[in-house]
Amino acid sequence: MNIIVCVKHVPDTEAAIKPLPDGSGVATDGLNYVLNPYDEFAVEEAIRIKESGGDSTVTVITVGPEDATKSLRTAIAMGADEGIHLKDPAFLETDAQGTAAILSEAVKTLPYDLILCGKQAVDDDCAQVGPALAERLGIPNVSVVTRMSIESGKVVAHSELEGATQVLECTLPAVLTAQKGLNEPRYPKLPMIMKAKRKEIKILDAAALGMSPEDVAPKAKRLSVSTPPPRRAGRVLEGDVAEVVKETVRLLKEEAKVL
Amino acid sequence: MAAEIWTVVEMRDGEVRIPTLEVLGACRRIGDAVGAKVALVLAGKDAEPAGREAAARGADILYLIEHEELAAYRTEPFAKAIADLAAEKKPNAILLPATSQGKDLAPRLAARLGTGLASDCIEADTDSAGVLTFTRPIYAGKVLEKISIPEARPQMATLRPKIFAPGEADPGRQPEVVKVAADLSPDVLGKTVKETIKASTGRVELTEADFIVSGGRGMKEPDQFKILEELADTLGVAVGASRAAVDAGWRDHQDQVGQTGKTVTPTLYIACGISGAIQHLAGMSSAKCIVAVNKDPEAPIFKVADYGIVGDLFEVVPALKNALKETQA
Amino acid sequence: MELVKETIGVIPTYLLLYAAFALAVLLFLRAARAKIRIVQRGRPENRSDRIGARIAGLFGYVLFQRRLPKYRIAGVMHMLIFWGFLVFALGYAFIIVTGGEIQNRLSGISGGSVSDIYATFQEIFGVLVIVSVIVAALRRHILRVPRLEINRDADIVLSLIFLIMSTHFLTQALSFSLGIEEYGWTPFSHGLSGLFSDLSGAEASGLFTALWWAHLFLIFVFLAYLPTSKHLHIFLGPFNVYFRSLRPAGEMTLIDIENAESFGAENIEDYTWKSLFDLLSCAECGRCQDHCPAYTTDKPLSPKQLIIDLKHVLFETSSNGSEVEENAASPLAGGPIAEDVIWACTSCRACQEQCPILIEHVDKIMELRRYLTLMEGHFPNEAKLAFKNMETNYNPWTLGWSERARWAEDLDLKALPDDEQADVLLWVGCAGAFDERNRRVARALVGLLRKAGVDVAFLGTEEKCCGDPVRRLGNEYLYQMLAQENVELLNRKKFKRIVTTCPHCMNTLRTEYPQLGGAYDVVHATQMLDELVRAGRLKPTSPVPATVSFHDSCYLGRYNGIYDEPRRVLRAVPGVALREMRRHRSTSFCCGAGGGRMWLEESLGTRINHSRIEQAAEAGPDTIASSCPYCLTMFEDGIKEKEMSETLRSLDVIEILDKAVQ
Repeated sequence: MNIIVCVKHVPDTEAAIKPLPDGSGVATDGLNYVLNPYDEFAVEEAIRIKESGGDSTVTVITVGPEDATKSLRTAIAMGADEGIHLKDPAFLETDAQGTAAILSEAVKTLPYDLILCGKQAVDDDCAQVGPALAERLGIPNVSVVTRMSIESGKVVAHSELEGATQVLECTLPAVLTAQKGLNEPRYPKLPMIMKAKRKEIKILDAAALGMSPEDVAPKAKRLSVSTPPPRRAGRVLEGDVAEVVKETVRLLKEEAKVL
Repeated sequence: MAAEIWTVVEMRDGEVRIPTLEVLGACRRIGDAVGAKVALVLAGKDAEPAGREAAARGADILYLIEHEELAAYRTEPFAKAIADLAAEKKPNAILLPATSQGKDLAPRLAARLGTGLASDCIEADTDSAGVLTFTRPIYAGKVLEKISIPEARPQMATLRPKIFAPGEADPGRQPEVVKVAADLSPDVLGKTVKETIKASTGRVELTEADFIVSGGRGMKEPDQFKILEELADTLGVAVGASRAAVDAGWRDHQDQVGQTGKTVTPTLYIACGISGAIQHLAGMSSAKCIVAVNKDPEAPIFKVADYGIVGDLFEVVPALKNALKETQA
Repeated sequence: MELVKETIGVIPTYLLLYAAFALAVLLFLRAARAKIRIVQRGRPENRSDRIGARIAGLFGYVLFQRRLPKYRIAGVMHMLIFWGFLVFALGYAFIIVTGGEIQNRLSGISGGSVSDIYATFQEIFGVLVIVSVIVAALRRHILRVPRLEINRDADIVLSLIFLIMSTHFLTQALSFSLGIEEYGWTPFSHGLSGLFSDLSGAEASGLFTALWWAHLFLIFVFLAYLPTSKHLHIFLGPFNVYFRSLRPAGEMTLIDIENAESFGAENIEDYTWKSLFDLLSCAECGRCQDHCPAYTTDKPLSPKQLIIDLKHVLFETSSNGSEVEENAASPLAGGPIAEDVIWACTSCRACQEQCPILIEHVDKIMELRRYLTLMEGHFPNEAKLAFKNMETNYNPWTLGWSERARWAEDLDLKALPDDEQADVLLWVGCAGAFDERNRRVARALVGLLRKAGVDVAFLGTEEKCCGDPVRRLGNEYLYQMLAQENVELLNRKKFKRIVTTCPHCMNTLRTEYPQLGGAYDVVHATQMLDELVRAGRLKPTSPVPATVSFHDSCYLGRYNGIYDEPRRVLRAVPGVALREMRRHRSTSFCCGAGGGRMWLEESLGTRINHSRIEQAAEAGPDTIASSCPYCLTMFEDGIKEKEMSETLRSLDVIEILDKAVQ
C-alpha cells in the first residue's frame, strides 16, 4: 500500500507569537519549529499501517521553506520511508488553497492508495488542505478522524462531529485528516534519528511541478496582522456567593464572550 | 448589485442548526450594506419546511437542492451540488458556519470553484463594492489576521460559531423559494455513512472539549464531583480533574488535566478547588478563559485565572450551575 | 611425639599437603579463570588510571574496613571476622610458602616472641570470629533481620568458618593437653584443653591428628567452595575496590552518539567488564536494599535483587569457557529486568553509599534506561511530553522558553550580555524560573545576594534546562543537545562563579558539563550563603522561631558531599532549633523526585515523599528545610496530601535565612 502523508513545519505552540512592527506578518526570528502536531498523528497512523503487514511505503511531503526539511526528517525518524520537499520562493506566499494545488501536482505523479494529513496546521489554523487536496485529486475525503482501519480496499473511519461521531466507510484512495486521539505518536528511536539525518530528500520546485506563478498566487490575501485585545487582568471576586456568581456569569457572557 | 451572498445550511436531525442562522445574520448585514440579495442554500431532502423557517430570518432566496443522495450530509455530493449551482448563479460570496461540517465542506467547495477561502472568521466586513474583509485568529488566537479575497469569485469564508448575531425573523420578508435539481451520479459519492454514534453522556472528549469543569483536592471527596457533573450537564461539557483528585482515586486518570495527564484548550475552563500548581497549569493554561473557584486567596491559580471566585466551592458551584442554567434558557 | 606423621604410606606428608593444597588452588584458579572469561565479555573500560588513589582505596576500604563501622553490630562483626581471617590467612600463607621455616627461624631469632605475638593474635581473633559467626547465625535465623534471607550459601559459609575456627581451637587445646609447647596468651585454648584431660595420650594424639587433617581439609574445601559462593567477595571485594570508579559521583558516562553503534545495555555484554565484575563481587548483604527509597515503599526495585538477577543472566548466558550461548535473555529490559524496576529508581545513590564492595548499581539502571529510551523509544508515557517540551522549549513543562525570565521581571536583575561581566552568574533552573513556589526561593536568593553586595546577573531567556532529568531518564541525545548549547552559552559569557538553588543543576554543570568542554566554578546557594554569613556580609538578626529538620537532598549531600554548609546557615539563624532526622546526611532518604521521576507517575507501592515526611515527623519539627526545588515541591505536595499543613511546613533554607536578614 502506498501511503502519502502531507506535513507542515510550524512554530511550536508555546512560542510567543507577535506581529511584525508593520503588521505585515508575524515575527519569525527566535521561533522554534516542529512537525505540526496534527500531522504527527497522520505520520504515526501511516507507519502503523505499514507495520501491520503487507508491503507498504510511507512518503512524507511538505510545502515549505528551507527548514521544512527538518520536519520531513522527523517523520522519517519515526519510520517514514521517503521525503519530498516542495520548495520554491513562489510557494512561500501562497494560501491554503494554493498549498493544496501544489501538493496535488506532486501527488498526482506518485502512486497512492491513501493520503493522510493533519486536520489543521497550528500556525494558520485553516484546516483546508485535506479536503481541498481530495477535491483536486477527485477522490473522497474524511475529516477529523479519530479512528481508522483499512479493510479490503476501503477505509472505515470515525469522524468527529459536535457531540457525536460518524462512522464512515470510504473507498480508497481517499484523503483523511487526523484528529488528536487517533493514536499516540511514537518517540523516534535514536538510531533512526541518526539515519534520518543522512536521508536524501527529493526537492521539487515550481518548474518541476509545471506550475506558473499564477497557479500558486494566493487567492486569499493577507492584509495585516495584529494582536488581539489584551487579556484583561484577572479579576478576583469575593463576597456574597449569589452576587459574585451572578457577576461572574455576566462577565463570562458579556466580557469574555464565552457563553 | 444583483449579486448574491449565500449562506449554506447545515442541518442536524431535521433542524437548521443555530450556526447557520448566525451566518445568515452576518450575510443579511452584508447584503444590506451593499444592496445584494441574500440566499440560503439548502442541500438535503424533505427539508423544505425547515428551510423556509430558517430563510425567514434574513434570506431573500431559498435555494432548495433536494436529492436522495443529499438526505444525509456527505462532502462530495454536497460539494458538487452546491458548486454546480454556484457555477450557474455566480454568487459574490458563499459563507458557511465553521462547524465540523462547514470546515469539511467549505475547502472542498472552494477547491472545486477554484477560489479562495477564509476559515474560522470572527469578523466579516464589506466595502461598498462587496469586497469582504475577514478577521480571523491564527496561531491559536495569539494574533489576528485580516484577509480578503480580492479577485477570485465567489469569495468564500467560514464563520466561527457563537460570535455573530443570528438573523432576526422578519415577518415582512417573504423569501423566494427556488427548487434546484442536482446532478449526482453514483461515482461522485465516495462514502457511505455506516452509523452515527452520539456521545454517550452528551459530554465531549476532554482534549477537544470547548468547556471544561475541573475538580481538585478542594473537592474533598469523590462524591462531591457530582456537583461538578451537574454543572457539566448544564453546559454539556467535560469534567476534568487535577492530579490530586486522580491520585486520591476520586477520578479516573483519563480525566486528569495537567503535565502528566491531558493538555486541554477549551474556550472556558472552570477550576474548582484546584490550587494551580505548575503541573496542572501546564495542561490548561492555553484555555481562552479561566475561572477559578478556591477558598484560598493565595492559591497560585488566581494568578492565571481571568475570573477568580474566592469562596467555598460547595456554595459557589451549585450557584454557578443555577446561574448558567438560566442563561441557557 | 609425632602428631602428624611424616609420611602417609610412602609419600612424605608435606608433599601430600602441598598436593592437596595445589589441588584446591587449581580448582580455585579454574573457577577464577572462568569468572575472568565471563567478565571479559563486557565492554572495555579503563579502570587502571590513578594507581596511587586506587591502592589507597585498598588500604582504606579493605584493610581498614572504612565503611563497616556505620553498619554497627553487623559492621563490627564483619571487621572482626575479616581481620581474624587476615590473621589466620597470613599465618597459613607463611607456613605454606616457607614450609614453616621462616616461622621457625623467626621464633628462633626473637626467642619465640614473634610466635607469641602471633599466637596471641590468633587466639583473640579466633574467639572473636567464633562469637561473631554465632551472632551472625543468630541474626539470620533467630532475629530474622529482613535483609538477611535464609540462604543455604550463607549457612554453608558460616558453618565452614565456625568449623575451621573450632578445629583450630580444638587442635590447640589438644596440643596443650599433649604437652606441646605453648606460645603467647591463649586462655581459651587452654581452658578448652580441660575437655581432653581424660583422654589417654594415644587417644589424644589420634584425635589431634584427625582434627588437624580435618582443619586443613576444611580450609581446602572452603577454598574450593568459595568461587561458587557469594563469599567469593573476600577475593573479589578488594579487586572491586581497586577498580572502583574514581569519577565524580554525579558524572554519568558520556556516549559518543555520532559513532556509537548502539546505545545503552540491551544485552548483558553491553555492560563494561567492571560492571559485570560488580555482579560477581556482590556479597548479597542487602544494605543497598535497606536504604533504597523505592524498595522501602514497595516498588519492585531492589538494588540487591537487580545485581543478583543480572548475575544470573550473566551465568545463564555463558557456558563454561569458550563458546557463548545465544543470548536468550535479550533484551534485558522488559525481560529478566522488569520495566517497572528500571523506572522506579530515583538515582538517589543510597545503594552505592551503603555498599561495602563499592558496587555501582545506579549506572546499571541508567544503561537499561538508555537502551529503552534511545533504542526502543519506549518509556513511561508521561516522559514523552517532558522530552518534547525540553526539545522545543528547553524546560519540561509546556511553557514557552520566552517566559523563562518572567520570574525576575520586577527585580531589575541583569540578563548578562556577552560583552559584559559579572562576578556571580545565577543559574536559575527550570523550577526557579517557572514554578510559582520555587520562584519565591529564587527571588529570595537574589534579595540575599544583593544585600550581601554580590555582583550577580543571570542568563534571562538564554538559559536552557541543564539536562539532568532527561539524562537520568536515559535520553542522552536530548541531554547532549541541551548541554552542548548551554556550554556554548556559558563559554561565551564572562563570570567568575555560578550559583544555583538546584542541586541537580549544580551537579550537572559542575561535574558533567566538563565532558562537553565546559569547566566552571559552580556552587550551590547554601555554599555561597554560608560563605557570606561567615564573612559577615549577611547578618541574620531577626529571629525565626522554628524547629527545623534539615533534609539532605541526594544530589547535594551524597553526590556532592555538601552536608555542613546548609546546617551552618540554619544555625546562624536565631530562633532556629535543628533536629536531625534519623536518616540524615549520607543516609538521608530521597524525596522521590530524582532520576527524572519528577516527570513520571508514582503508581506502585506507597509514596516516597509521604514516607520521608513521616520520617521527618518522627523527629518532631514544625519545619522541613530543604535546598532543592524538587524536594521542596515533593514536601509541599506531601504535606498537603497528608493533611499536615497545620503542624508542618516546608521551606527552603534560603527562605529561612531570608526571613532573618533585614
